[in-house]
Amino acid sequence: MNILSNEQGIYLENTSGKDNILLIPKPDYDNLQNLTRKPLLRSYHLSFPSLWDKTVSCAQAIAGLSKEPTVTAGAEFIFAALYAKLTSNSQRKSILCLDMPTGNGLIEILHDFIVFVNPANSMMALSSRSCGLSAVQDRSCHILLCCLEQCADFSALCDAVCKVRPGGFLLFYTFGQPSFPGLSFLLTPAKKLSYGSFTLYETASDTNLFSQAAPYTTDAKTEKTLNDIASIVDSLLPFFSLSETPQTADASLYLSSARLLSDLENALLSLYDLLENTELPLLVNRLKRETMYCYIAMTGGDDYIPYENKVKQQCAALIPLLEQEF
Amino acid sequence: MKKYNLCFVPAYPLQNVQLMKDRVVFPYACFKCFGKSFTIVSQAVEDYPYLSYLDGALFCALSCTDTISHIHAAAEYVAEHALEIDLLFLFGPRVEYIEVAKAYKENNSNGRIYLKLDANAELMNALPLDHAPYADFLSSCDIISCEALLVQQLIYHKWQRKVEYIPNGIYLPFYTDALSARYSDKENVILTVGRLGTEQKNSHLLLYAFACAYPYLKEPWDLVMVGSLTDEFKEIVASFSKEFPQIAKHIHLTGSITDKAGLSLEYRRAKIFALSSLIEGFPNVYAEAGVYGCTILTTAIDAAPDMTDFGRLGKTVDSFEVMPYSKALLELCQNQRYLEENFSRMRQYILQYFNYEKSAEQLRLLLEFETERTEGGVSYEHIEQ
Repeated sequence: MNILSNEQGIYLENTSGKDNILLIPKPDYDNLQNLTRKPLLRSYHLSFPSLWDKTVSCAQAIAGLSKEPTVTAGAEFIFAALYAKLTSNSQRKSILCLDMPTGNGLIEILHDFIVFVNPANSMMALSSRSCGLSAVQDRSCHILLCCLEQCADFSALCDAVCKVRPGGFLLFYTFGQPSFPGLSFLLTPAKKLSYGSFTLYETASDTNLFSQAAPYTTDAKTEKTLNDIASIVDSLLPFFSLSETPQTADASLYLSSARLLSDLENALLSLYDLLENTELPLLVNRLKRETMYCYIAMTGGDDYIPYENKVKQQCAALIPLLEQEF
Repeated sequence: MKKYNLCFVPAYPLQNVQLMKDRVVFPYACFKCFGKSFTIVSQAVEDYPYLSYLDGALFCALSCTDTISHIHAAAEYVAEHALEIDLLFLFGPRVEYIEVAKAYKENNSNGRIYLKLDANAELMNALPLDHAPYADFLSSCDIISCEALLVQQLIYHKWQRKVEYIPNGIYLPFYTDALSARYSDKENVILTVGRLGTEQKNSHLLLYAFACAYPYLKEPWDLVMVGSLTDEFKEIVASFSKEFPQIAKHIHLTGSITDKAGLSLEYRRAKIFALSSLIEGFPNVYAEAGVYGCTILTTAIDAAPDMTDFGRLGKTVDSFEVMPYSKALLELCQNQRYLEENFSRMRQYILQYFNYEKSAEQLRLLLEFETERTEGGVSYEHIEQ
């Protein structure tokens, strides 16, 4: 698929005989929507490209990345959308790319253009599987660009949405159907641009969107799990206090405690990446096993004292570790 | 109490001798504890006389051909009978199971899969966890257990998922005479049981360690080696007999003992049970030896801390060299008082923690917890940040 540029703008050539598609209109000097520090159409020093020269060359470079028309058109639409946001004012901008496929050259071209427009601009390309998002402050980015097909985790997507400041832009694209059912709050109000199987969704970030995404973020889930842990540990207090009592023979306490320990283990494992003491889930598992054995011995009429002694020992070791962690 | 229809599918066609090993005996103990039925599904490759021990168990022989393998036929069976199976037992984290697990879950979304890992650390480190169909298979297993504490620790850190600790043990009804064993019945016998001479069992280490210890023993001891012999090991033994003819008189190679009563006699009279393996998951013979009050001497296999209760009930030799193993063997042989005291401690330990009837209860409770969690309890999805 070819890219054409002329005095009106940059076009996607339509080989099917229909009109070419205008990707980026050539800016005018009196266009106050385009106020970057770069020379706009002509550079006084001829050796430096103007913004427009660079835009054309990037659009052409993108066209050379793939022979597949839909892929090329999709990449050009993404570039055009970014162009508009990047050149809308002279503020430096932080662009967060989530789950953008690597290795096809597009990210490199976009990065080249982004820092050309303003060397203070930044671009982060992260995977939703990585822990990188947690290092980015909420409401600190200007643009989010996300490939929905590659995004593995709805929570990570909501995390990314919350990284964009009000007034910023969210650009989602897909070469198929959007993958998460919960996306409607993001996609329904968005401006939609399609070419073949490719669709680009563009929406402005605002506090309303932020508040809709916030309950699904990793932080929100973590907080919920921490509350669950606190509640489980509270419920386990009668069990934990066993370590201070000489002897107890309440089988039901052991059964309910084993169940709670199982829940605690699940909760701790779900926070595994955040734990300082990564042995905690395993220690809880071992206490759970000993507790189950104690219950089995009690209900089976066997001698439960050796198990109970071990339960007490393990409780006594675990409690300070839980206190230290939480 | 809920009663389950249990089904065990081995990854490879089952051999008769395996009917008395953990892969079948543990599911069988579960069947006796909380089962309604128990079906073993396998291509039949030989006669199965040991089935007579498994009262109530059904053996379903798969029809396999040159083009339909055991595992393919097993997957078809599971798909067809999925709704009649409440709990599917799988043995070993084998890629062959991908198809079987998928067929089961697709046809019975409420069914449960229990995967017994039969694991050692080396195998656990080699699993293709990033391979999507394989990772999906592991995710589809509702309960996974491993046999050694060390392996459990390793898996927790590698997989970040719950893996239960259910070591190999004994099913006491198969060892009715074990509880009547007395220390006074024991003789100065060191026993080993296994496929002698295989690379894994490393049997020559025990043979030569015994030879090195023998001259220093205060009393005569015999080494009894039970199990089939590889040709290579036969040659080693022949050469050993020429080299140490006096010591060779005290080494008894019984060959394989297939009847339980015969094997029980050997356990009953042995004071020390010796393992010289290079690598093991969790040896089935351990709990058998333990319930007869044998003290354990073992190389540092993954399950060594479990088997000796961290050194309380036996010795672990960290080296695979003859002299350190021989030294540890000699120390045990010279300490009759320890062996006698250990007799009761060992049996108590086995009955407490390596008893399949208790492990079956444990699995029943775990299934109960899992059902509560998935049918209305809290769901904790893994959080990545």
